[in-house]
Amino acid sequence: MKFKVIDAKALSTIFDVLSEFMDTVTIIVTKEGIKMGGIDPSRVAFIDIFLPSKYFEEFELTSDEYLGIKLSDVSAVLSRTTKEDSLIVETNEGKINFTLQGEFERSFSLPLINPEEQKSPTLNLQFPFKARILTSAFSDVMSIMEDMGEAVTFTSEGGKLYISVEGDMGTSKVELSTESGNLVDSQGSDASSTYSIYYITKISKMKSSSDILEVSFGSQIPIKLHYELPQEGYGDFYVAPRVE
Amino acid sequence: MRKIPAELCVRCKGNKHLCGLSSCPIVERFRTIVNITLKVSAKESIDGSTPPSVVVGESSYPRVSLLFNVPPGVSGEDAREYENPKDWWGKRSIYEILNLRSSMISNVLKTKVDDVWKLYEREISLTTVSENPVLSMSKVNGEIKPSLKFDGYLMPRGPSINSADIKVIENPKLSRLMEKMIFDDVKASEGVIELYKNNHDLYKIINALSMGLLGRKKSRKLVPTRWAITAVDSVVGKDLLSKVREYDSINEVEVYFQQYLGNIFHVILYPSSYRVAWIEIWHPLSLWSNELVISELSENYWGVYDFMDGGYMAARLAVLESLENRKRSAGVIIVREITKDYFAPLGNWHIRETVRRAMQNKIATLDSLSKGIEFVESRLSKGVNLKSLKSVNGILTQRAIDSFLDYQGKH
Repeated sequence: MKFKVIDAKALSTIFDVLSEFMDTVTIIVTKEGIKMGGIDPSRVAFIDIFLPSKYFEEFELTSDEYLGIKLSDVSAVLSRTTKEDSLIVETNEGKINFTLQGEFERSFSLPLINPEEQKSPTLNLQFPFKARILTSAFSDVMSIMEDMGEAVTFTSEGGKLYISVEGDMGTSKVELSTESGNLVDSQGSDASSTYSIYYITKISKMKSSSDILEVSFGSQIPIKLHYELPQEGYGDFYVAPRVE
Repeated sequence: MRKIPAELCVRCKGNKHLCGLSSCPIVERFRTIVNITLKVSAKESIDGSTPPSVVVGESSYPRVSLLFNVPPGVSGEDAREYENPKDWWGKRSIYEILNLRSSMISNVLKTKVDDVWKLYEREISLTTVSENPVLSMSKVNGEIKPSLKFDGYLMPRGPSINSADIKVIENPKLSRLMEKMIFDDVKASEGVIELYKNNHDLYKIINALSMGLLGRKKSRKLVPTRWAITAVDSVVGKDLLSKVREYDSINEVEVYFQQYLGNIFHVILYPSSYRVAWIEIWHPLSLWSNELVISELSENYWGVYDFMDGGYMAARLAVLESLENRKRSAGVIIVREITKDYFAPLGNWHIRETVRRAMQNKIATLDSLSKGIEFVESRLSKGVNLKSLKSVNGILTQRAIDSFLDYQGKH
């Protein structure tokens, strides 16, 4: 198996965000593309990432492969990736090789670990409210909120999205709407739910891989953060709510 | 420490308990200082065996004070009891510990943190990790400063005197592994873990780290004891946590309990992946506080905690040790109550030791976390609503993602 991406930074960010949630992951490579994810060990978040074969500049595969990798190692070798780099990933006799091509070429070889059993669960939820937002705007909001408290509440009211945090010092609230231009679009009914800010903030780092994010939630159900990736790829992050 | 209005003490003179404490700390202190100065007056040297006991100060770092503690006139095995936290537990009262500690004299040596090898050659550092008390003689100059030192992390210390020279008279007795770690050129954290895994006393490991006996040879330095205590707790804790996180969770809610020195501990373990809430309830008239004060700290699955607290690190270590022994993971809530009986800080060793004992004393098994919290609440002094605390509320309200998932093909 061998694949190549022109934007190495985008792919390394995906591994980076994943590594914040889990120690290991199994990459499933089929002719459709690459799938990876799972439930984080604290059992609050579920991650489902899909990169179609078209996402890649080159994509070679003879038969389906299940590749177990240690994310902290991958994240470490890819930590110095720059915007100018492209990345080639290939497997070879129990090893996975990463080659960064840019100003100069760097190669890393890591051992593959036993792939975990894949259960591929799904979430069939009806989300009463959905809105699309620029990933950079969402990340800015979350970094403002991060220090204010530990629970973040998403509320929809008349098509507007409110993100608020109740902290020791007081309450902070951000209003986002299509009228003010900070939502791309929004639809659905009024709802409200609270989540641990810790998880949401970590997910918001996906901004380096994706431009547009769809936020879906309802009352007392998980929030879905759907990061749109090129060529109909996606990074879906579900976080379970806090329920009083 | 809590300020007692001087007017009160003047009227009281230590007899009427106007401050609300069950005995007068001023009198207590005075008594022990009188004892000590009588023994050492008009002498130019202080002889005695160190239990061993040493403190590296942190003020004016990197030029620090090394305090080499010796009970004057006490030698051999008798000296051990002056710093013996593991055996003190459950037997020694707060008064007895104060008495023991304040009958030691701190011989103060000014030194640079880089002078590790000089202290090593004079066998001063080896003495501090000795298995047995070691006889020493200190040439003193100046006057004894008759004051007691208290600290939240360190054990209380007695009066101090500047020392011109400390001579080690007996041979320190070191374990073979300790000797090996001193000669080996391995990272300090590896040395700490190696010693811990081979059942070395945590307090000896702290001394070894503090005296610069562990670590890469060219980068060895003295480490202020207060930092070394927490460093050892967190290095060992990190190692244990990396294993505990991987284990299966327990199935029921378990409540553990123990108390010592006016500190009451309840530990709740509940089925969950690893995470911790640490709650401290300072009763009115306890050491640092005039009113009921509650402080809390949370640690998540990844081992990220809100802030560093030496007391928390000590308690956490004790809980992780117990989970590692059982090869189980759990969510953890530790509730520490500090009552007015804890009127002088004795260091954080008793937190570590009491929680270690608590983990061997299960008092209830319940079927829900909510019930576990209510059970502990009913045993606390009135007016404390655990469920309203941010850390506990965060645990009780967080849903697991599993309950929203569909597993396709699951029969």
